[in-house]
Amino acid sequence: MPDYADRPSGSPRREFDARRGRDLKLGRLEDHGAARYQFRVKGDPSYYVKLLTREGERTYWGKDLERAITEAATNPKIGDLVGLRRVTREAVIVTSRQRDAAGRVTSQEERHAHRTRWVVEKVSFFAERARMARRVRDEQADMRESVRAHPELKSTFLSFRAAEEFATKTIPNAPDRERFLELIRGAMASSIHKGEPLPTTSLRNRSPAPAAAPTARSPKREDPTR
Amino acid sequence: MTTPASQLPAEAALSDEATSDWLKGALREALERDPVDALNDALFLAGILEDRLRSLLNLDDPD
Repeated sequence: MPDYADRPSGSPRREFDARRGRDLKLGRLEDHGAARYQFRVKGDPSYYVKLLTREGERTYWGKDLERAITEAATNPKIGDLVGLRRVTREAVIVTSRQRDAAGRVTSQEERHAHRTRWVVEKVSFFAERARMARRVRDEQADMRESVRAHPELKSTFLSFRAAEEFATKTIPNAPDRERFLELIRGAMASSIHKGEPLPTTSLRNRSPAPAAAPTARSPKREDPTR
Repeated sequence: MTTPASQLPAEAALSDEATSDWLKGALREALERDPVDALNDALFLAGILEDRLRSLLNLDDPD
């Protein structure tokens, strides 16, 4: 089951947001903590973040929200204006257990599902990431100057350099090569903009681990995603 | 005459040194108005200010 906020469906605002791809929720951090999903007595253990938004109070649910809050770079506190964004979905295996009246497990079923990864940070974080994303997107940006302004982008630029070398060797057609690099640049910028962790590419890696394609990633055995 | 409970947060905000002068002024004016109209306008204002913040800080994903 996907994570979601307990907002009414079909509201004009929601449709407006969907049209604009507005996936960053803004609001004042009112509360957060571990609780049973939707505060139901029989709900699965989960984690909630309560925001006071322009549309009123909204509660978001997701197990990963706990990690997102505790590992947040900007250390958001109650009362801060924060942004909340779903960034990736990981494939997991969910185990559903049926119990009898005494609480004994009577049957068990496994199914594939997705676990959402969240970013919860103060608004300043997203503003900074937006600036960094523009740097990466800007073809004319001088790399040295950009790295001086944002040292944390060094790995991103190294990754892009590697992609350029790869393209030079493997894509002889110049327009195709440029299209490929534009896609790489766009994907990197989008990832930075969303607040996903920055890459940590090292200059030399003598025994690189084989890279797994995202689609080939094996599902992890996890508890229910919500 | 007792003070209605709903006025207490407003009074607390008005006497709080951390509350900005702008907010105190807006709150004083709002308390004189029809409460439904005032809240409606406040929500509308919040929306406008959020859009402005998103635009100025380029917070929305351009994709």
